[in-house]
Amino acid sequence: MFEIVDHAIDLDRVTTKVSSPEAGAIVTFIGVTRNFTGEMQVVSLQYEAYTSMAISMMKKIGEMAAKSYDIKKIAITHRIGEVRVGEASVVIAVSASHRKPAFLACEYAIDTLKEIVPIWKKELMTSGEQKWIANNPAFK
Amino acid sequence: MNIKVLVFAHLKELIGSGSIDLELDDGATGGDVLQKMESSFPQIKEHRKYLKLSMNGEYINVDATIRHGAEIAIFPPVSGG
Repeated sequence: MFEIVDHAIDLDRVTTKVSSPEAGAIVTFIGVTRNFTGEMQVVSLQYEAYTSMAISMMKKIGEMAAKSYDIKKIAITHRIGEVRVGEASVVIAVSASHRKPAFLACEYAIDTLKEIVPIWKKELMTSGEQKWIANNPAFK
Repeated sequence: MNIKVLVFAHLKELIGSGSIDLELDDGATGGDVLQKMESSFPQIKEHRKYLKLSMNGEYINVDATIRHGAEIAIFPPVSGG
C-alpha cells in the first residue's frame, strides 16, 4: 500500500489498491511537477529518498489517517529520480463509505507527507541552475 | 562503538558521500553525532539548526542515546510531495 518507485506512477494501480465493495468514494491526490518557481522555468525535479524510513513514515501516516477518519483503505506511492514537468511525483488514494472522510484523510496524508517523510527534491532549471528545495522555507 | 551515519540530499552533496563511519563513546547522543560530523565536515556547520536526526527509521532528538549497531541518519528538512 505504501511504496517508492523509480518509474512513472500508474494511477489506476494505486486507485485499485484501495477499492472495496464497502467504499462509496475514492479520493485521489496527484502531486505534479510545475513548470515555474517564481521567475525560473523548471525542466524537472530530481527526487531522492531515504527509502526504508520513507516507507515506515508513510505507513505511520496511513495508520494515523485510519484512526482519525472513517476510511476503508489508503495507499501512497511516491516516485524518485527525475520527474519532468506535468508528470506525477506522488499519488495518494483513499477509500471510504462516504466522500467527506476520504477528502479529509487525503488532505491530511499529503500535508503530513510533506512534513515527515524523508524525501527531498532538487529543481533543475532551463538555465542549467540546480537548487535543493525545502518544504520548510527556513532552510536554504 | 562504531556506527554508520547515512546522509541525504543537500547534505550528501556537501559531504561528498552518502555514508560515513563514526567512532563514538558508549552512551553518546544524537548531539554527539552532529558534533563529530561537524568536526569532520565543517562545511555542514551553517546548516546545523535545520538538520534532522533519525535512529532505525524514527526521528530522534539531540539528547537521545545512540544504541549500538543502530542505523543513524542526518538530513535536511524534507521536501517530498
